[in-house]
Amino acid sequence: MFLLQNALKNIVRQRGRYRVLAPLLLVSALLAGFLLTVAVPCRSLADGGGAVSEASFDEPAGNAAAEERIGRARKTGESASLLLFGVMLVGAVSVFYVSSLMIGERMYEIGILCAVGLSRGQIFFTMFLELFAVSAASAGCGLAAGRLLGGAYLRREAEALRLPAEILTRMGGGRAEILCLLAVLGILLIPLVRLTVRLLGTNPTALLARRK
Amino acid sequence: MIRLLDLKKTYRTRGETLDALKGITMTVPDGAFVMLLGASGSGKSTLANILGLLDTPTGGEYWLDGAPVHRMSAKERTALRREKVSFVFQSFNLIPTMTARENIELPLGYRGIPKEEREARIEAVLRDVGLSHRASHKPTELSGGEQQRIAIARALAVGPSLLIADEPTGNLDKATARSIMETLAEAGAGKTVFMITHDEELTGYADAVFSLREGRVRPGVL
Repeated sequence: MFLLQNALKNIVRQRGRYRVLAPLLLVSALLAGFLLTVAVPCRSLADGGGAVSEASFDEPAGNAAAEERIGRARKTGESASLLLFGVMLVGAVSVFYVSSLMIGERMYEIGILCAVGLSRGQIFFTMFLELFAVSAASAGCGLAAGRLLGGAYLRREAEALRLPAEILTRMGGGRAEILCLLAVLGILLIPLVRLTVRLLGTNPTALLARRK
Repeated sequence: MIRLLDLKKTYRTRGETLDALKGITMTVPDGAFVMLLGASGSGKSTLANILGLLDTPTGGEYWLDGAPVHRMSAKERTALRREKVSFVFQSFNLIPTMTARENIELPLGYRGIPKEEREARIEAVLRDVGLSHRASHKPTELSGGEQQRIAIARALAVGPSLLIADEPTGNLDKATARSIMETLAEAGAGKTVFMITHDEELTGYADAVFSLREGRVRPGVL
């Protein structure tokens, strides 16, 4: 219980340290949420799979206007998927880099924690809880905002392309968003595991010497 | 009680060997205030790190309260350190974003001590070091002497049987150093205190004084 309380208090005490990571995650998650919302139904429509298909258009199959609209939906879906991949990759690398830097900056503090008797496990969980709380809050807000924006965009597209209303029921997300969050958490774990391994056999006085 | 038998520490780097401690034999009884004098590079911090279970000897025996530290795994040493040893450092090493009270509470909380007992211990050690009125201040709002007193309070709050003080007065002026020594002697009464210093003027506070030169310990000031 003390561990959890201390980790949450640390976020407030050390809020300055999160001035890069929190906005980075927020923006990455916002973009990812937007692109996920848009990519899945557009691709689904273009591929003719699921409830939304070419047959859902009010024109007969083979109609040139319908083909054009399907082509545009396919293009939107493919671009969104590609961008999503890029956002995920850049976001993942940035989160890894920033969280590694943040932990590196805190080695002196970690040395104090070792010297006053905290175990490696306690240090790992304190840092993890801090990073998890900040990341989950930032990524959660970003995803929610991205989903809202994506939904609004999709509604506008559906209206402009005269797409069937079912498209709005197939907005991407759900399982994919959970996977995104898990991926971010997985990335946050890498520098923490590296830190824990590094603490094995490290004399805390060597960490205390890192005082700025 | 601390018993060292022919304790050695050798550093090996790139084919070169450096004998930091060349066979130290000494006994420190429970509750004694022992001072170890030595110049820079004499190996006194190495000895303090070994006594404080932060480092391991490369030879000899180290017994702490009857436990054979030299035969212990890293995990066992960490557990013993948490149970019996506390440190006071030259540069205070308080977490700057926490208040004095929070700094003292930190090791208590992580040891699973209930809140009421934590509060009682914090009040007691703050009273012992005479800083009850500064509990809600952050380290940057405290003087060097006050910061060191808070560090002493943090070290004593967990109830260690051995307190290692590595140059605790090294960053302080003479008057403040004396006042810190008085705090250390009074608040640390009943505990084994092993203090490292290069300041011979402070030896009056100790029950026993040793000197470390070229990796070997001799009784008294050399």
